[in-house]
Amino acid sequence: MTIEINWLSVAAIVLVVVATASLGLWTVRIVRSTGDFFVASRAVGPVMNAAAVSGEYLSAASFLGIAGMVMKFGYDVLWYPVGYAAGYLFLLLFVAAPLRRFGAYTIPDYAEGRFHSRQFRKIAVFFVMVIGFFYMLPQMKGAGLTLRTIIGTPYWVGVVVVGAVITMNVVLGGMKGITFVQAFQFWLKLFAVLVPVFVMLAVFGNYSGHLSANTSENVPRFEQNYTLAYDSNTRLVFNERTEFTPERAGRLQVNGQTIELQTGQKLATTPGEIVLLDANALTFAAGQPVPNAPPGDLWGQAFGPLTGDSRANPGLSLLYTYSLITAIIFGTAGLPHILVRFYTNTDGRSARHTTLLVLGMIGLFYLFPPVFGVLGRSHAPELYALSATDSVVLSLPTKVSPVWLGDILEAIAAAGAFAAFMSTFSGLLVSVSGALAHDLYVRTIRPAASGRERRMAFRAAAIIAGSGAIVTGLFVDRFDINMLVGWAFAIASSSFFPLLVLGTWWKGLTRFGAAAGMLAGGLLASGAIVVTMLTSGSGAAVESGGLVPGVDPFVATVLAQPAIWSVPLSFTVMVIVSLVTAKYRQPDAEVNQIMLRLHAPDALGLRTDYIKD
Amino acid sequence: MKPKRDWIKLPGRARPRTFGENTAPYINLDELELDEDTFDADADEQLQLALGSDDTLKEVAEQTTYGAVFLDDLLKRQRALSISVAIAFLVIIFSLPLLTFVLRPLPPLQIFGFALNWLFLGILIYPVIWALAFYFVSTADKYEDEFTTLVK
Repeated sequence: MTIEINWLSVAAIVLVVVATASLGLWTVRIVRSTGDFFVASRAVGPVMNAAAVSGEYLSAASFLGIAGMVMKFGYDVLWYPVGYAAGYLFLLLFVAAPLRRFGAYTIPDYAEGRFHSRQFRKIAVFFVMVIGFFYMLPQMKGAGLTLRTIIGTPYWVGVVVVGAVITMNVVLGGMKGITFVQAFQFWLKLFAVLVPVFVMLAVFGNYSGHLSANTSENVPRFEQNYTLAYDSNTRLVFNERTEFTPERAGRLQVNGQTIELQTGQKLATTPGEIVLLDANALTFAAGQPVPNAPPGDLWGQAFGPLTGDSRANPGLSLLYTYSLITAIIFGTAGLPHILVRFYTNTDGRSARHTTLLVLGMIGLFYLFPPVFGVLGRSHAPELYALSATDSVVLSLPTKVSPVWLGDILEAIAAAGAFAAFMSTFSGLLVSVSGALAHDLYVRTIRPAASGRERRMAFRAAAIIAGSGAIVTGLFVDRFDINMLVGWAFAIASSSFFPLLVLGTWWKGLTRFGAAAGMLAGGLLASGAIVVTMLTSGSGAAVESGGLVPGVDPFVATVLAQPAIWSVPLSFTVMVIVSLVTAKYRQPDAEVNQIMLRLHAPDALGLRTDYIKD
Repeated sequence: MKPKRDWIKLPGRARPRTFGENTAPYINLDELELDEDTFDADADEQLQLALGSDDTLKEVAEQTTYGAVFLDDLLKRQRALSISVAIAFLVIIFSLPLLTFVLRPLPPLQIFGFALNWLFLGILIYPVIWALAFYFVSTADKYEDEFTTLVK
């Protein structure tokens, strides 16, 4: 199968890149002071800021990942968008207004200011970098995947090219003017998901019809003849008897036996698993069942393949679901690159109104990605066979006829995808470079650094972080985009979320308690995730929610989704250690002063920002 | 062991400029350790620790007047509001998997030809989130307005 390059898509991508870069450069001109640089002079109105928050938040995971994962795993994946949106409810309830009233520049500023502790800032910086790093990987995968789908370049080309372009952008322009760019990209993404969905629903038929068709049929079938290329050691799972023809000689392993394949010899396989030991291409005739697609009843119901082997261990599937929900709804309120945006509001009340608008905007957006997943199972099932479900948002629109309409829709979707990983990757890169340059270098290593040195430090940090993300991004092709992002949320929910909630609402939190809780929850959650990443799945794609094969399923579940234990652990350690170290509590008057700054209504005019512009 | 009081190290010039007449009560100027290392030559990037700037602030901040009682009361009301909205939402969202789990053996429910589980989690849950968020924002705003009227 050769890929015909849709030049319309290429043009759309170039347009988005050029528009983003020039918007950024144009707004740089109106940026003057440090306050502009870090918090846009705290003068961003709720509507603009809500669009900017949404623009930064809707990443490759939201734009490409949710649809791909809904197609691959079915119903359970709906918890991701619900959690991504509901997380803002918790941000609204516990964090938004007080955080804005505190009036710092970064989350490590808050960490130091709340406890007046330099040491504590370093811990916060560490977690900004860990979370940022985990969050950058899926953006890199989105870049590699999008270029591969549109132009047919190898995976690494997209990662390197897009990573380098965005890093250059950040190195040259810094954070300046990013608010306007992010806001623009939100509307672009909403448009890019809305238009293809409505056209496809008009062409293919309604949502509920596809849903019941998907659920009632056992396995989707190829709509036409497909010849699909496979690397060596590819695993294919068949749910029904399937016929296929190898295009080349090579070896195939089934039930522990090795079979020699001959070119053009038609084979039939019973339900089960085969491994192609040598690279090959297989031809499937129209009407044959598609390998790797989960059965319709499991796909359409709760506790499907995402959550593990629910037929063997239904209780563990329930545990997996709860842990996933915990990670995402609490993780959102602990994402440093999102939280800093609330400092750009004028006051606490407008931070609250911003969050309400964000909920409206992203809630509206999240209605649509699952539609791609549902239609994808019906109309682009060959993506299962290629383990390429993550590209369904880009591949599915091309199935719309006439061809010119399909090409236009693909171009729109490609533009949206680029806006998604560009906005999130630049935001993350700024946040991580800021943590290295502002919080670590200037605040702790070299406080006397001049303005020029600071900018140099920021640029050096951006180059280091950007190259780090590019290099590690090369190795994450086999993970689902959305799952990678889910892991960043698990770490945020066990580190910054407890810090912000207890630090803002409980006078008794000591710096020792906060540090111990963040380290216990955050480090153990990160450890569990790294173990899962390094050991899960050896083939082309990771299956079944990232569960590590060959270990006790309970252990695999709590390693793949650690939030269910790491969030309570973090809170508990914070409370217990704070009570034990109560004699190191800050003086009452000081804590009261901080609480006043966090909670006094803006209208009284009592509050002054921790960092004045 | 006396905790190291690094909270009074101010990044700043030889004199802490922001400490005027309205210095908050807990700061003892005699105890201030000025850390010269944190001196920052770039005035534009100077951090200023802002600790109270007018008399009204002082009154509430000193925690000795009615203002303190009111602020404590506001804090408690806001916290109670946040926690109750959070619990309402968590009950909804955490009961859903359990409900699905218990009802698993039954055939999937349909409404208007739409699988009920998809309809709820894919679409209907968003208006529920919006309603809770709207209720919270308007109530929190109301509490603050009441507090402001009371204090002023």
